[in-house]
Amino acid sequence: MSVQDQIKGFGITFRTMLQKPLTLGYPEVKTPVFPRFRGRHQLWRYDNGLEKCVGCSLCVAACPADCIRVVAEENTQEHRVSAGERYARIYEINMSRCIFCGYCEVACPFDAITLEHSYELSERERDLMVYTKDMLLTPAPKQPPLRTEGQRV
Amino acid sequence: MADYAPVDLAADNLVTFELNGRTVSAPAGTMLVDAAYAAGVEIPIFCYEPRLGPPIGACRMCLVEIEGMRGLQTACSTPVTEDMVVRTNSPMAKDAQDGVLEMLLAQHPLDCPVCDKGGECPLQDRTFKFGPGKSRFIEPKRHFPKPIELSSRIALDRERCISCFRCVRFSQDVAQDGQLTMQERGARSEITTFTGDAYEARFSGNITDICPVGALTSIPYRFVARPWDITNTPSVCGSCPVGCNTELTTRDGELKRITGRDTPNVAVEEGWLCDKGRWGYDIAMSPNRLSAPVVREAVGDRTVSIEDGVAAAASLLTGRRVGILLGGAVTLEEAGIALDLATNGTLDNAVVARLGVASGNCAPVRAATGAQLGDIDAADLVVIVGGDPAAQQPIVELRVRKARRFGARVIGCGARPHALESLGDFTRTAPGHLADGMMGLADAISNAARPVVLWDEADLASDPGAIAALTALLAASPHATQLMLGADVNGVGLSALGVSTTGLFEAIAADEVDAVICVHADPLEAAGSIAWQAVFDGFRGPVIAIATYASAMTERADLVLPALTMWEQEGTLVSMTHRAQRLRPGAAGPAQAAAGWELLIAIAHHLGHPPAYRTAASAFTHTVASHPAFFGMTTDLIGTDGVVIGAWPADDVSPAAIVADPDHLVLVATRDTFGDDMTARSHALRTAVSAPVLRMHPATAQALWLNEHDHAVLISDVGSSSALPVLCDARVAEGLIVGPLGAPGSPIEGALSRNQHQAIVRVERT
Amino acid sequence: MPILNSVYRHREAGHVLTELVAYRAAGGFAAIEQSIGEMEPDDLLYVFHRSGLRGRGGAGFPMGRKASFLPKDAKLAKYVVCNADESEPGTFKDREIIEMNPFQLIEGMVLAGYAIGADRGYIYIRGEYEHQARVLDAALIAAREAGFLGDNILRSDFSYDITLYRGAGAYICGEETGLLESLEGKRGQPRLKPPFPAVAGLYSSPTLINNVETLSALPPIVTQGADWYAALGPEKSPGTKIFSVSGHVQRPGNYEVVLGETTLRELIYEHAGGLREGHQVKAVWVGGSSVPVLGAMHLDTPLDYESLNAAGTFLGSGGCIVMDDSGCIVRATLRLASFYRHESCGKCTPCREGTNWMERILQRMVDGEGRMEDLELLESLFGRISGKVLCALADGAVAPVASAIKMFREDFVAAVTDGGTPRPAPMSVVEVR
Repeated sequence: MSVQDQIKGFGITFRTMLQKPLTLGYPEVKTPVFPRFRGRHQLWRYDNGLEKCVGCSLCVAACPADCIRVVAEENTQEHRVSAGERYARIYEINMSRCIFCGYCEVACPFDAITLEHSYELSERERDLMVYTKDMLLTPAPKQPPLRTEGQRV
Repeated sequence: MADYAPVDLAADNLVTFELNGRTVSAPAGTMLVDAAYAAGVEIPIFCYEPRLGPPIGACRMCLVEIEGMRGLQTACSTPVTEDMVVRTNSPMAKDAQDGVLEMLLAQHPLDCPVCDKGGECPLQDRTFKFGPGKSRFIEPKRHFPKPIELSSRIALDRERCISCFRCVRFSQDVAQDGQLTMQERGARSEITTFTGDAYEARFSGNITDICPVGALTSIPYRFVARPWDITNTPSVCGSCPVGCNTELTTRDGELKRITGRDTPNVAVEEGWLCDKGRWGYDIAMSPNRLSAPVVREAVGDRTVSIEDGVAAAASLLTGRRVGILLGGAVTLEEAGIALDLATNGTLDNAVVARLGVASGNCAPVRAATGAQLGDIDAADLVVIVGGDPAAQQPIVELRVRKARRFGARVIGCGARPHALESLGDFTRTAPGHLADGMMGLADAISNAARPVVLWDEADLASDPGAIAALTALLAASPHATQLMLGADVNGVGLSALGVSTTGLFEAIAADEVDAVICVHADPLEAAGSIAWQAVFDGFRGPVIAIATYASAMTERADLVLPALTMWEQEGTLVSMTHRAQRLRPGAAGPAQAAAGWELLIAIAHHLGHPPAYRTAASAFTHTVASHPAFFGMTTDLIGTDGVVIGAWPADDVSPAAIVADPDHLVLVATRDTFGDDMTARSHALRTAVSAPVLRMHPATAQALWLNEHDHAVLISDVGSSSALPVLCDARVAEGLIVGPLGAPGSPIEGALSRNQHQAIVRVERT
Repeated sequence: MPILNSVYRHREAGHVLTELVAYRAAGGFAAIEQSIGEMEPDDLLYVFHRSGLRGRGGAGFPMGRKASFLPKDAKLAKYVVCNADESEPGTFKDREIIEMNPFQLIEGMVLAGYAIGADRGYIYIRGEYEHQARVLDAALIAAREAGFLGDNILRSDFSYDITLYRGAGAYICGEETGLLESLEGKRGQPRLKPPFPAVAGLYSSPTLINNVETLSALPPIVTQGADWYAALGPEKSPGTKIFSVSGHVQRPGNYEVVLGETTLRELIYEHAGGLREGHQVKAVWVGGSSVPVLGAMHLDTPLDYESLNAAGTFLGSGGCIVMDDSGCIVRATLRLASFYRHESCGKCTPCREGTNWMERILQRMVDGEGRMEDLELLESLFGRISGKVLCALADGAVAPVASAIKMFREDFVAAVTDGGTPRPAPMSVVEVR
């Protein structure tokens, strides 16, 4: 190791000392996420209020973590929930098992489920980590700020 | 897959041909699709289904190139020949596959996400495997209201139909109910019933199994689960003595569906199920299902946990002389444990008996070469002696119809009219005079090359003359085989274990028993119910009922232990063709219920005599070791297809002979599978239930001053029946009354003697 | 060139022959008298064979050979079935035979029945031929009374009767196995072959099934000899053939001519009186609608099996539909495609879906929504429909469309580019829907 190498090494150290720190004051300050970030799921409705999900269970088949459970039922004239013949009576995602791979989104033939940006998924009890259909149909209350490509935090 | 016929590659008439450049062989005459599948080459098919009869070549999916033949040939209808050169993957064949699939999908709605077939759909699978990948069809597709109810159990989505004609052929050729047909022409063709009414038939559910698309689906299973949500368990049906092989579909611990197996058991049901076997399972969820033990005390009923229930049972039994009564459908394990407890000192010298028909006197007939149901296919003569197979052992009907399609003659004799009589020449005999009818059959049997004689257990057991005549007939024709049309679900198995139909009744009457356990048995609703009622009225000891459904006995019992149904427990049943087959659980059952075998073992533990076995499998091993009919049998040997048991020393008990004479009327009981208590409680089968009636010849009715629909009561010297409506049927022998066994409220059981299906009665109008 | 009324004996006689006496006076039943009980059945069969008579229903299979395929030693009953389900568009030759000369058909059926040793004959007549069915029924009764049908015909050992069966109006029941299904009381749709009807036909028994014209040609063959018939027209497929001329001609009607001795031009311009003043032939479907279309350049083709094959079409049923230059070929083709879509029985996938698809594409072209790639799409469908199915209906559905696109491609291109405007305007031939 020569003197030159030492100067090079310390050069980095001193340069960095002069920069602003990267640490954020979470939770007061949220980490911004890229638009393609995969966070909490959301189920969608059509403009007329009907659910896009028809309970086809393809997301269940695609899920590598086996964290989705769908129980379908038939729509009736009096009780129409989705646009198709069937709808998901139960749609649950166990967020403590989910690995946020996004396969469910890819598998969905109706664009009924997408992975949104919210990443604050912590509960005090395990049971509460099972998100029900009603929860998933509602957008996450707090959305993290977005970050564009190349933007420094 | 059931789609392709099994190929016997060990046959001696093999021909060798070239398939996609490989040299393969198959027996001469095998259809090319089957031969190719056996050689590992899948030729796609839709309309071909070997069980439906000769191919029709409608879907054109199986077009292949055969050297020396102009154009493409349908592999489903081309038998293999020596040195044939076949190409299934040549550009020409691939183009035809692309073309046919593109056309099949042209009008198909592609609504796979909402389709129940999605994930287990041959059209989906073959489109992925053989299809063109994209469609050039840009016109609007045809639309129908979807779905419509073909019946209360089958949904028809006409948009998805690809007109393969499988369902129509099933209805026309296999079940021969003649109901389904194709209406309209060409691209507007649609499946419907001929009359436009609901498709009500006893085998209707099979069309949901054979439909290669989602056009025909089961309504009870509608949107219930996806193929990846479920597990399928091969099991066996315990609704009747036939023992059809089934597949149980389970989701979240609940039984959701019963289908025929993908690989059908050709020796038994060939993949077809009757609607009761398919949809009757919903009675396990019916309101009178027992879900927790009940202790009946002076202050009232008390529901307890299953552990406390078993403890209560043990304390009731301690120090008492016990009698164990087994029902006709208890498994080998349950019966084996009961017998073991009676002999190993747990329940000292307990008397073990069963309900059901005793047919020890039929041993000479049984000694002749036995046939399996599958052997009927190849018969050139089917002889039906007595019985009512279409009602009592439904799947036999399809087998006999199939044999007839293949050219077999169907003949027979008997007192009761039945649906199979229209297939051939039948003579009507008076009850107890079957031998007279059999005289006319002798020539035909001895002239036939492969005759199969189907004989009714209950009819023969009470007709000694018929046993002698049939024994002589079978002895005189060396090629003849026989097949018993049994009366009880596990009657053969229980008889082979040596469980007698007598002994317990007498013991209770003689006060030699202080406590009774009824295992899946209700003597108060069985033949001879009045006599049993009298005996139990005088019985002061405790009665423990191990049962699945509330019944007269569970109302009477001092302790009720809820047991599991045949869809929820392990066990072994022996079918009427002596085939031991295994029940495997497809549902968990109520939390506070347990299998009969488990309850018996638990009681033994509480009594301080832990038996040497803890599981059903070890109970089975223990049981078979001590009974000659089952020597050498293991659960592995039974496997998924079952195995035929050996011979056993004949039970010497025989029921009293019932012989008709001009002065007396004879009641013959028929257990109509679709008219019994179980069917009546099923929601899915609500439109399939046949109403209980007393069928008699118009002349008999006239002699009794009865009109059709009048209600009448049958009185015998042991008791009387409840009032039932009269139905006149000129096909019934004069002097005979056909009554419904096992109907809701067990109306006729009171007029019968114990373990008898026939009685001499008089009739009173009410 | 000359007319030879051998099947149309009533034209020769100059009056209808619906009375048995009249038919006898015109030389009728001589063939029966000459052969039943007098000749060995096999010898009679050989006469048919030697005459070279080919099936006149459309496929043109040699009649004698077809009859010889019936097993001689079969234990089952044998049947003769007459295909009188004359449904081919533009074909109405059998109607005139039944209407004017029914006894000749009956006589022909008795001869065929005798030759093959049949137990019974059936005439399957199309449902729309109500009047014709009545005439035929009366003729059957008369023939039976006169001893030409029934037990011991002409006091011979031969017993044979004919049953008349009316169809319910389906083109596919003119296909022989579809006809047999319908005759058995089932849904009319073709059967898988083999087995062919000669081995397992009606009720799975050996069955000889022939067209009305074919069977009606038998009596003259017997009376005048096979050599006489074989000498008529070309050597390979001799005899007379009735052409039903319809469309834009002055004198539409049936014309029985000797095969090979008349050209298409003579048939249209001499027998049928030519076209309307100032019009030229645009298209001719010479053998019913199920054959490739011919154009004006084919007018000098002689009318016989081989020459028409050489011209790229088929003699078919002889239903000659003529369209002059006032008609729009795209609309005419659509009309034919609609017919086949309507008549496809729906059993085979390529025909059921393919005929529907072809019609929808052509309909779009006529509606002005055609795309250039539709022509290629149509052309790619042809090979996936024809030859891929059980019977000839699909081939028949493809032939007129495929040949029209080939021969009149510019009209189809114009239909796409002009937004479906009829060519020439105004439309005068075909009314669509």
